[in-house]
Amino acid sequence: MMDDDLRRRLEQLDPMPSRVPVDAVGSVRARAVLEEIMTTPTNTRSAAPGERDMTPSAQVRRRRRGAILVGGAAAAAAVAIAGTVVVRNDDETSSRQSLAIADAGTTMSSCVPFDVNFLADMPVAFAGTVTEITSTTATLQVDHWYRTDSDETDLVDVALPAGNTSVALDGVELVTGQRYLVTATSGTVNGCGFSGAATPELETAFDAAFSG
Amino acid sequence: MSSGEENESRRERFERAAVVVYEPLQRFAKRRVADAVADDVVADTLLVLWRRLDEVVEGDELAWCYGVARRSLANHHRSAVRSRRLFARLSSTTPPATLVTAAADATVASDHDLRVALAGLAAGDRELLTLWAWEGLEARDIAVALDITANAAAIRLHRAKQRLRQQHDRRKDPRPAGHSTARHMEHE
Repeated sequence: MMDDDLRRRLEQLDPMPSRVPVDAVGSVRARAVLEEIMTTPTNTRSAAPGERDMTPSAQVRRRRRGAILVGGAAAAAAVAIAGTVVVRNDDETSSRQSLAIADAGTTMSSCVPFDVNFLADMPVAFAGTVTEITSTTATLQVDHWYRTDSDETDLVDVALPAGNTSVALDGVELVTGQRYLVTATSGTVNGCGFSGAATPELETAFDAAFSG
Repeated sequence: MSSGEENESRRERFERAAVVVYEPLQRFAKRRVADAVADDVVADTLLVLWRRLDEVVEGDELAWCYGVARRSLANHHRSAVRSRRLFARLSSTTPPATLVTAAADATVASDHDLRVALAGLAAGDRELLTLWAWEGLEARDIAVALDITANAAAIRLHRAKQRLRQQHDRRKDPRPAGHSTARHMEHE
């Protein structure tokens, strides 16, 4: 089967061939959508075309990350392990990356009050459900990336502090099947209310913080 | 140029781009998700195009939008997986919905073997092949959509075609390994 033949046969499987009508760009509906979009503020950016498109630019993220690292000593319960590892399977069907929960016993424990504006500065934020917990790692299946400074992977492995007797995220026990909202800075999960079980209140805060 | 003139210029370019991308984007989304979600994906993508128009190379608008749309679809897909899991927990007697590929949804009755072979490929290969055959992109445009080099796109596309042919051949000629014929070599 040569290329032309293969392409032609694949085209036959197209569920939306050109003969199936769609909204014309001149339709009332399309005009309404386009006009609404053209009234939204623009955001001049210089990121590469393939970067995360629903999130602030890499430049903005870098600035924000710098800011949170300055405030991080007081803000996060802990920042101990840095470095995000991204591993892709060959077929790219189950990408994953790693974060860590810092050992609270070795780090500062003071917190700043929870604030949506502060939350909005987090460079990494996602919603995910715990699918597996071992003695060293909790794995979350991500269902939504609010923001990331690397790939939008399907899975996130959260390394747990060594010798931990309970598997907890910011004082909230991690439970398989439970959904959580998580932020991280420099590869480490943030505490102090900036990560936690996906309550309606926290989800509302995440939506507000990352909607821009 | 005054800010008013800049805005007018931006609007003009966006309007020109919309003429090119609006209908193909709808097809792209509707090939892969239900209509209601497809509308969201199209609107999300156009909004990103509007905001980042300055960064888009003239002539690359459609391929660039496909790249944005596929990431939007990925977010919708993750939400759908979560919804299915929740539904499965709430209704333990009902088996969870099976992921259905766009190809498997195709209503075309012909070429069943090729459809099954396509559905059996890894998601990455299937995406490349559908961008090539359904969206009509060549390797250079696929590279823009996937944010990879043109060379990488050409190589991945070539390999995806090979794997599709192999899957297809296996369906047509399901003899065990060691019985393959020279027919499998003719594609190289």
